[in-house]
Amino acid sequence: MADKSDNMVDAVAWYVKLTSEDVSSADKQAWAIWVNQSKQNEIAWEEIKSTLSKFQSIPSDIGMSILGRGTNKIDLNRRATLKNFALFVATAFPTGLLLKDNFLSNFYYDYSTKVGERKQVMLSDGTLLALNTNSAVTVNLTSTKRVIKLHQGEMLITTGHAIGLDSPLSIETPDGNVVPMGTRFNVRKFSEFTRVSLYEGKLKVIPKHNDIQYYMNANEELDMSTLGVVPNITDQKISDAWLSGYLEVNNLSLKTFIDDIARYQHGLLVCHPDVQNIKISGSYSIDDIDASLNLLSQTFPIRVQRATRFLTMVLPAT
Amino acid sequence: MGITNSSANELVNQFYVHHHSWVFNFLRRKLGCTHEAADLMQDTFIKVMLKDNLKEVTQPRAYITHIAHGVMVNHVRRKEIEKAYLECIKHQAESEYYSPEAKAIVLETLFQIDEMLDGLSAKVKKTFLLSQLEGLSHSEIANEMKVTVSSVRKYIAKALLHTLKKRD
Repeated sequence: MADKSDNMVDAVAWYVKLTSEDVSSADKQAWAIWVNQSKQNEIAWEEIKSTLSKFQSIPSDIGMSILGRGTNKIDLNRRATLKNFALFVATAFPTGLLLKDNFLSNFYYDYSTKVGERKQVMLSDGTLLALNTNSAVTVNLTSTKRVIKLHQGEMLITTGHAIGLDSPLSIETPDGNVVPMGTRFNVRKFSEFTRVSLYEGKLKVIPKHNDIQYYMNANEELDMSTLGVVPNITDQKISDAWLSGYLEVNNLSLKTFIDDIARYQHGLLVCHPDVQNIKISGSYSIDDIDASLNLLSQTFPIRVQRATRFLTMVLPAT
Repeated sequence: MGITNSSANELVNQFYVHHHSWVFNFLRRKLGCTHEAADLMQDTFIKVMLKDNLKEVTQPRAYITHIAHGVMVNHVRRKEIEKAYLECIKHQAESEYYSPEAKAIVLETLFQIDEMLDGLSAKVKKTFLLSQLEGLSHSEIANEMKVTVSSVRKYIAKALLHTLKKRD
């Protein structure tokens, strides 16, 4: 019985030759002779063709980011930049773990929460720190300065008024710093910016790559990127109700709402384009996402379909 | 085929009776989910059942573990891909135009390709993907990956041979 593997090795060598930039017409003729030389050669060549044809049906950007996971740093949110290799941003795909369930190492972060978990701690300087789902912070309090760094997720901070302290408190995020002046405020890290919502007191924000300091007053909210700030002039601001286990929304688009509650559970939660703009108001539990989704489907023209164990879809009611 | 033979049936039954609870616990420990473990246990035993010459298996425990492990790795991988795929298309306007059938086909193709590429080093895999998915020439790939053109050609050959072997 002929050794098939020699055949395949030759066929692969021919393939590489033919797809090289410097392939000559003499090469092509030699290949044509080889392919026709025997049935085995022909079969080997066909196998290469049919194996490679599978790749043709995959859109290249989806293919690169999914099949190339672990080999590459790719930002799934920026389709336009996928073809521009210089702009790849790190989104790691640890093997065997779902995307959202990042392993937050306890020995690196001082405080962290898992998906769906909340935590409140009183720091040694009297600052009250509350962490929302899937968040991680490091804390460094010394007599000369105090730094709380948000790496991921969302936190609510109430500074300790009662304790007279000389060293200033600074909140650091990848997008810039927040300097509170006796306040209660919420900081939430989105992928491209950090949203700061101030409830009481005053604070100033300093974007990472811009020297301008921007002052905020109570009941204001802004988005800080590394280059600057965008104030939120609408009525819809993040409320601190998450601390008590629910989301309070007022005229918020369903898509934004779904993206928000998706953080509190495992698996994907997606919203059909046709219902994305339905306006949602009310209070919804974040500890029982199923109940909240059911409530939504009773109040609005939508239905919730649990398609697989890891995918829940919010669809139009028909 | 083995399953129509009643003594083979009896053998499979015995396998199930003796082994299903440790397999279930094994899977449950690895997956952290009872529901998934039950499903995968079924898949495992179906594979066991489909094997010809079951009575030639001298170490049933090792054999079943091997099958269960393969089923589990496959399952976790599919989960990963499905999730990544849905995340990908979420941000693309065109996904509205893909029928559910088309999406299902793309997903299935992704599973198959991913399986074919499994075992390749990151370097080799990436080189191969750049040539097949992005259609880059060997020198463009060499540039991108900061390796020589001859390395690129070696990697492509290696990847292609690897995927062809898996087909058999």
